[in-house]
Amino acid sequence: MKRLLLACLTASVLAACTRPPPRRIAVATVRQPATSLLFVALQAGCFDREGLAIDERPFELGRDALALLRDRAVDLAIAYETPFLVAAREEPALRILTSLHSSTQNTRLVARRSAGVDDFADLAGKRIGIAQGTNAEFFMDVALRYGGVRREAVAIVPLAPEDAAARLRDGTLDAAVLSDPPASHAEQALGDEAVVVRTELYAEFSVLVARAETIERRRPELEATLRALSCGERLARAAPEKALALIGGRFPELSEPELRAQVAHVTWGLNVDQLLAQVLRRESEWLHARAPAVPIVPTSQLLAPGPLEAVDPEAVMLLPAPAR
Amino acid sequence: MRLRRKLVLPTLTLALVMGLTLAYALWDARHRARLLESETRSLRAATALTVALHDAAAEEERRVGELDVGGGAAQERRLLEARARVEELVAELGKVPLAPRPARALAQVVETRASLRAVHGELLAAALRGDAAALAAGADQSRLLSERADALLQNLVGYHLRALDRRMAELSGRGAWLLRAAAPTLLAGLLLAVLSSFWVARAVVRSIVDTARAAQRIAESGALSPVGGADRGDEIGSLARSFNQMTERLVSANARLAEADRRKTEFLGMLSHEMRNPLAPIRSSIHVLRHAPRDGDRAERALDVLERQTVHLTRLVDDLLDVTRIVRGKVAIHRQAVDLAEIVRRTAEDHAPLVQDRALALTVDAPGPCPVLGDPTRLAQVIGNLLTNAAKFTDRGGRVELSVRRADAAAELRVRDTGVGMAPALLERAFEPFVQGAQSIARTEGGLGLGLALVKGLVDLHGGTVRAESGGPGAGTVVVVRLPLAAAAEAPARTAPPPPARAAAGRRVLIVDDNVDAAEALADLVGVFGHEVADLVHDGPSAVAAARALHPEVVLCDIGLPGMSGHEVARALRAELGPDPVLVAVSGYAQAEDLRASLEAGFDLHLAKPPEPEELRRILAEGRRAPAGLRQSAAAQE
Repeated sequence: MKRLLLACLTASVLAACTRPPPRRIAVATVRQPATSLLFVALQAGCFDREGLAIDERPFELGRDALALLRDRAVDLAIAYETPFLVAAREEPALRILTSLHSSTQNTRLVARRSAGVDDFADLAGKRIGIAQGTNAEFFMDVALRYGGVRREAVAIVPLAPEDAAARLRDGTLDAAVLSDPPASHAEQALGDEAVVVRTELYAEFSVLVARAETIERRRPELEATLRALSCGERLARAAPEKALALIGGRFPELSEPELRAQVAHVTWGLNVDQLLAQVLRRESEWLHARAPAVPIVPTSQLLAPGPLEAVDPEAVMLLPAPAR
Repeated sequence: MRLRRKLVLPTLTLALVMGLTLAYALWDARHRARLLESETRSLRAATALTVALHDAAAEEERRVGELDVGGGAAQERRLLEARARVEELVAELGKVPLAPRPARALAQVVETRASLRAVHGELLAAALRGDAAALAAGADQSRLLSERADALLQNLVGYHLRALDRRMAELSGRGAWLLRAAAPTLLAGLLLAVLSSFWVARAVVRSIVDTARAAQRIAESGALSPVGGADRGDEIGSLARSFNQMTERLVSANARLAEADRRKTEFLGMLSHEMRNPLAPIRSSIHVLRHAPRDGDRAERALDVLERQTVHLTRLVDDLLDVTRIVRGKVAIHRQAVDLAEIVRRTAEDHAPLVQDRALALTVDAPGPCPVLGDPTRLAQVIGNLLTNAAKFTDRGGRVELSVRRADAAAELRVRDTGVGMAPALLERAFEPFVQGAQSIARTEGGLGLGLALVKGLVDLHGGTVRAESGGPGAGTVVVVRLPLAAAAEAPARTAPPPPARAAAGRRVLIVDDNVDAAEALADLVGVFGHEVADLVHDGPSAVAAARALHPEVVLCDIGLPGMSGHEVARALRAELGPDPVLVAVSGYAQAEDLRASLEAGFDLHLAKPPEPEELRRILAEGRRAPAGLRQSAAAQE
């Protein structure tokens, strides 16, 4: 009897001490300071504490990250709202779990002063570089609209963001819609020639996207992922310098002040709220206007706030659906 | 644990569980109600302000839409008023206590409003300069920013509505949880209480059943049957111990009663035998007297037999009465300083014939004086009984030694015989009434077995001790009596011999007895003593009438009479005739209280039936002067 009790006790202790193998989550990431909340959480060990191992697939653009998600090669992808909406029109199973950041300062127009661009109203007849299929397209339309310039009046030049600095400098482009880090690179490259135009009229979001079936199938892992991100958010709010130091290694090409300046343009935070819903609705209408054949996807279908609400209820500020 | 506490435990347990559950439920409900109330208040304020803000912003946008080229100061004023209203509501909303997230949303609203103010400034400028295109673009920007601010405000409402939903769900879940938690807790408490009750009830009922069975076994067998559980420390243990103690005493008492009953039955048989023994020679002697010549030797022998057997019978009854009185504590000892040695010598003399009849050698060693405080009559009775006992149980040719000497502060009287001795078992009970050695059918020794019991009773009354010693059957017996010595100052005074009885003068005597034979026999005796029998009557009224008519000097009156009792007769005679006649009660009632009742009724004397002829002769001879001495003699029998 004593031996049996001893064996049970030993087994219990071993079971308690032996950690189960970590659950793996594949994430297609975007290497930008704006989307670095995931890096903060990773470097702070938040995922380890949740028993998660992240298989990271880094990209420069969310558009490409979403492509991998659509190919079912990853469980999650990070992207801006515009590429997400573009992808969601073709793949209705995509859902936003949460936003990762929001900003009205990050995406901006960087122009050459010598090209005569001082404001959005000066864009008529100019060559503007944008990365197609990204939020830069929507920003471009907003800028033209409020600059009072017709789209036909400008020359849209497809652009890889990393080439923007060189092309602005060599005069093959008059302006470009960019986010950091390429935006900062371009500004530095142009020096005094650089003109930067921002607008409060456009709010950008980076979002964490999953497929509907993944949400259903791997709900515990997704909730653990959101808990880890929430852990990162708390750290970033409580100790922003530490968060900055944690992600420094991800951007070796940026000096510490440059990284600090770029991070200052954004607000990290997990949210599913009315502002995000409004932005999605507006951009959906914009996309529909460009391609009316594809119906507008209802906003409620694009959002999956359940896992975030389970993890951090206050992060969901959507108006509740009417009771039936 | 005490049974009372065991009984209280289940109730307390249940009450405690229910009380704690209820207290927790109340505390939880109150705590959550407070949270709900606080959140509802914030929601109400935020919602009301948000709706008002929405309306104010819509008004502001309408004013923006009204702006046109050359609109003038009125349009500007209306827009500024509308904007001021919005700003006022935003400021008011800032006063509502908000959680961090809604607070951040409000901060964004304030930022957006700042951008909006800038747009409004450009709009007004465009209106002034008449730039229609700038006006249209500005209005579009204003709408977008206003919508953005509206979305941020909706976040506030969304936040609070969801918080409310969560709280409601939490409350609902809490209620369900409480029900789920409370129900098993209460059930567990109830179960615990029921189990405890069963446990206690089982312990109680089992003990009662055990006790009932033990009682039944005792009732059926009369043997001791202890109840289990006497070692327990609770009330059941106390009950078991008390029950066992009670049954032990009852069984023991029952055994003693059975033994007493056996001895009583044996005694009655013995008494019957002992009474019949003298009756046989009495009957024979009467027959001889009736048929033999009155003056012949046979008649003389018959009269001797009658006298001896009557004395024997009288002694039997006296012994019986004495034992009864001693057992009932009715015997009073009249102590006086006496010389025990002298009493020993005198008693030995009195019993010399008995010893001689049995051919025994009696030696008396009483050098004296040996002063003790005692009743000389009763002490003589003690010594006589011991001598009689020794003589009775010693074979012819044996020896009886009587000695008295001082030993320490006591006078020690020893009566040694060479008789049949006593077995150890008999030694222990030798002084109990009705106890004798092994009886034979022949009962050659006779007696009621009261002699030693009387000795012990009387010695006890004198503050002394008595014990019997024997080497066993056939080894003879020694009975040792120790009495406390009297102090020197209490040395015995030599008692003056009683005055000689006066010569009888012929007295007129009235005899009253409902027993005709007894009355006539008494009349004969009175006649033999030389007195005149005035009349013989057999009831109370006749006695009073005869006394009234005949004026007798002495009335010998029975107590139990038809018509009037002897006491009533005495009272009547004393009332009518005064103190003259000597009234003597002659009754079978011979207890102390009977004597007292007679004296109180007016009798001068009380004689027990059958009256000692010699005593009766003396009373009749002395008449009225005798009562003091006679009373003393009668009282000594108490």
